[in-house]
Amino acid sequence: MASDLSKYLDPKTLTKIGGLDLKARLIVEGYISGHHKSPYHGFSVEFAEHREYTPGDDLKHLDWKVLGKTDRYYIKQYEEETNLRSYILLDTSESMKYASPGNVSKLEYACYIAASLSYMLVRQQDSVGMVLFDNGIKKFIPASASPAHLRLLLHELANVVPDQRTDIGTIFHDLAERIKRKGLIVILSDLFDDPEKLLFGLQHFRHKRHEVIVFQLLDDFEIRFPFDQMTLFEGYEGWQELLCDPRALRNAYLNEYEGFSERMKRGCRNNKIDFLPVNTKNPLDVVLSAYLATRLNSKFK
Amino acid sequence: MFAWLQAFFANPAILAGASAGAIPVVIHLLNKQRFKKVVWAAMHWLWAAQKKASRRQRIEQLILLLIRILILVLLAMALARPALQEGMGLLAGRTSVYRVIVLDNSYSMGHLVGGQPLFEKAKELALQLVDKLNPGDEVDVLLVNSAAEELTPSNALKHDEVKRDIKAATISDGTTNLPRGIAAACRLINDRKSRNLRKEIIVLTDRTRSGWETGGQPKKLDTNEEEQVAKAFEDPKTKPKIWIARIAGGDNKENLVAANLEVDEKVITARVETQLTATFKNVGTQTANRVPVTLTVDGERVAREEIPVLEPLKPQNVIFHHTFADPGSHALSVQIEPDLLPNDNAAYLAVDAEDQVKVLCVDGQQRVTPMQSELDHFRQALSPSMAKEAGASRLPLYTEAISDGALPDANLDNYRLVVLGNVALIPSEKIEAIKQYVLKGGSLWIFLGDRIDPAIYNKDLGALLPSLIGEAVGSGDHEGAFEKLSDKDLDHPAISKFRNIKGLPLHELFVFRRFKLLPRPGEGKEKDSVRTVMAMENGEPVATEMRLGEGRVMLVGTTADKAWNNWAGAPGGQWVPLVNLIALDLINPDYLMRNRMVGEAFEYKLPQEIVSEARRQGLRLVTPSGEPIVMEIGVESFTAVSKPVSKAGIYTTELPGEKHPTIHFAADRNTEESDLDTIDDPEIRAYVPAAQGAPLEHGRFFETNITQDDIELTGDDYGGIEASLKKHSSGKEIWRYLVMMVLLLLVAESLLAQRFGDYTR
Repeated sequence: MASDLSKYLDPKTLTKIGGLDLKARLIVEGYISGHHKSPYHGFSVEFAEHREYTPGDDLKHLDWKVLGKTDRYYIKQYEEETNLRSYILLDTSESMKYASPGNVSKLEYACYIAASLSYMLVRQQDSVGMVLFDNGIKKFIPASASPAHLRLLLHELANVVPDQRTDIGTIFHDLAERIKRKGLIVILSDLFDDPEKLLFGLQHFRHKRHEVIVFQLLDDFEIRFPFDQMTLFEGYEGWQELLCDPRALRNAYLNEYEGFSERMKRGCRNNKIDFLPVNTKNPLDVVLSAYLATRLNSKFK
Repeated sequence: MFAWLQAFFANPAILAGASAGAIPVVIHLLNKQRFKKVVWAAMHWLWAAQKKASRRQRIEQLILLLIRILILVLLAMALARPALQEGMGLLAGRTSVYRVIVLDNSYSMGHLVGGQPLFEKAKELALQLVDKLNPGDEVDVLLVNSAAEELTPSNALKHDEVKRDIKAATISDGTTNLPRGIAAACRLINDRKSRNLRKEIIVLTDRTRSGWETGGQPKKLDTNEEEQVAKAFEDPKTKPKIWIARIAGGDNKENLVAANLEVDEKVITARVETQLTATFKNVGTQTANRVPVTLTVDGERVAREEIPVLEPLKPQNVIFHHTFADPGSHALSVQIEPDLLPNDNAAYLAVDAEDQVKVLCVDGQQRVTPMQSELDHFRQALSPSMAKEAGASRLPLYTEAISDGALPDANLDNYRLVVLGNVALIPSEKIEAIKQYVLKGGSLWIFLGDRIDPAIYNKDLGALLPSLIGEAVGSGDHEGAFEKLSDKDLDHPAISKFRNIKGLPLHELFVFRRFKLLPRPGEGKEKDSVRTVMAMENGEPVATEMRLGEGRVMLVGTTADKAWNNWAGAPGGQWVPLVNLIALDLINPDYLMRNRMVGEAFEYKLPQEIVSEARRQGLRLVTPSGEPIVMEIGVESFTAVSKPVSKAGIYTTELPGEKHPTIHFAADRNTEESDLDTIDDPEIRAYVPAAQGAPLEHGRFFETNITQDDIELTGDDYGGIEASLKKHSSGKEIWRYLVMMVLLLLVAESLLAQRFGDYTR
């Protein structure tokens, strides 16, 4: 587990993030004292609902009565648990495996970001949950703020195996329904899906009054398409291979990329979603710092 | 097919390089085969791009491919040096031409047709050939007779100057050697380095047979000329083409010729009647009757004769008699009646009439008593009083006698003939002086005798002697055994007249004692020129003669007096004519050097006393047409030399000083050109092989790789010549345009490749 921590919690990255505390733009229920404005003015102990036990949940919240009656593990959920409730949605589809020579894969990069954010959020007493998905939800880890939960998250990140196609739009709808309490949704994906479907799913989150941050992770080669000789492109996720002269296709490809990027930016802006394209060639800390700075700025606007 | 290509391309073989146009296609296909594999995530964008771009991309690739193929094909075409043919409508054009016009100006071109010489017609054609040239074309004109002369050197681009010089060109009195004219044209072509110029040699000639043949064989070129022709025709791509245009002379080939004029005696005596022999020929086909001929001396017609019948190919001699009233130089000519070729109707001769010809007699045994000295009988034979015995009305020879002791002080240059009679010893410095005297044209006559030591003579005078002096044979006893002179060997010109003189048999001349004359050792001109003048009946020579430089030496193996022979007292009186004939034959009159053939240079040995003055003033020769020619006087010699002359006739020069008036020179023509028989097309072709290396029965004009394909034979109408020239015109070369297109395509290819996204190329 220690090695897992060290793998994702790059001290250099975390040091820089530590200097720029995450400050939510929207007013969210439950802030850490001194940091967050809360509409509930203090801790609530009001029972909210039951939910099934998930490994990593604090046993002190186990509803022993229910266990006694039904022999099932249920957790009592209280309003006071909720400071900032964040969910990190990590795309583990096959296309995230791609890495240009000498570069880390998009999935690895996404894991770095996920781990960094989780650590930071947990340290702030915010609860963080995680969803691993491809063409379906592979793992749903409810949000929690305990250090043990953090280890669970990191463990899951360390064992991600990408192997399926993406169907992000549908999954976003599922998750929007499933994540009841409004909070912060951090999406880490290459977003290789139909932009309309994507935006529709994101709108669903917004409809549920979640704050949404979308990290679109792309490899440098996917942004620049720098190939210069006849190449046979073999696709992930069941795409048919293509033999072509990349030099002749470059402009058309870049047009496609920019068109998609522009559509997403515009759609996100309209829905007040933070859309952040990330080149996995760039340093991780720079990306995070830039994002946090953006959020801080937007808060004080 | 290949011939068709040859008509358009100078190097059609290089067209094979156009197959390089397949290289871009091959590269394209190879590239399709050679690719790298990449596992790729953003396939949806790639496929979308592919769907949108594939059609455009295919068109772009096709455009680039076509441009690249075109670049290579055009490059190969440019290297093959294509040319547009004349007469191709709007695209018509011509490559630059270097045209050498070989203009035959031998005297047969003076043949009158319709009152106009053929040469004028040839000049008109030449002017048209220059006129039709484009401004960038180059032209040279060669006047060809026995020599080839460039008419307007280094003005090949100035057509007006060339035309002006053609108009001013005159006919020569030389013969022709047209293969030589073609060789000279080849030399001009070789000197011109430009490979892009089309080369044409156009020969304008009347095609008289003598211009091409000598004795049924083609005229020969020297080694240097052969090399020039071989070099010009070395490269099949750049070799010239030869057109031989026949300037037609009409059907009338009748021609009467004044072939020759000569004097019977070399030494001409003033105030004595001289016999002249003129030779006339009829080189036509019809007999001419009652042909008047005249003799002109110093500009005055002095005699007129008539040849009753002058048959074709039978030369007729006409004898004239004339007495030169004054000593000195005289100009003579004979004329025959005018005909269609007027240039050969006169023959010329320049002579000197002598008052006195001085002979120095060096006597090895001089006595006071008359007729006792060694050379007394000899001098007596030459004295004017003996003219009657010598068969002459007056003898010009005048003898001066000195003893052998006085020889060292004698100035030999004052004498035409030096006679050594039994002179035992000659100082070595005088031997050298005698040698120089002979080399410069003097004559030496040596008699032997009892005072002669053969060993000393052979050693000291070796180089001067026509024969080595061997042992003495015979006792010398007039009552004893004797040998007779042979009557049979009378070939030497000095004594050949004895054949015709009856009653003067040479076998009546006895020799009682003589030195044997043995063949000279060594080789060279002198040895080759040694001839026997007189021989004994046993065939052994008793008198031999040879040329040495300009002069001659005669050696007699016996004495000049009666000591060893009976010659001076021969019963028939042979002695006087014998001595006179030999002496006159030995003497070389100066005027011989002043009679030359056209194409040769005149020489004149200046009298010693005027050399410095002549050097100071310069010596000018005035041609028959009145133009001056400078004669060069050698630094060390006293001989003035002119350049080779091209006109027949009398030339004159004025010597400085009052005592030395006009000197005449005469240039005569070689009359082989007078035969107007022409060589026709098949005969010319018969001297040129049909293919390289093919054998020819009667020899060939050029010992090189010229074939019949290189020669075109045409008539004399300009239209026909021009049509033939056009037929072989290779048109305008357009490789420069193709190279420019290649460059433009290269630029276009770069720009398009950049535009189509092929920026990593």
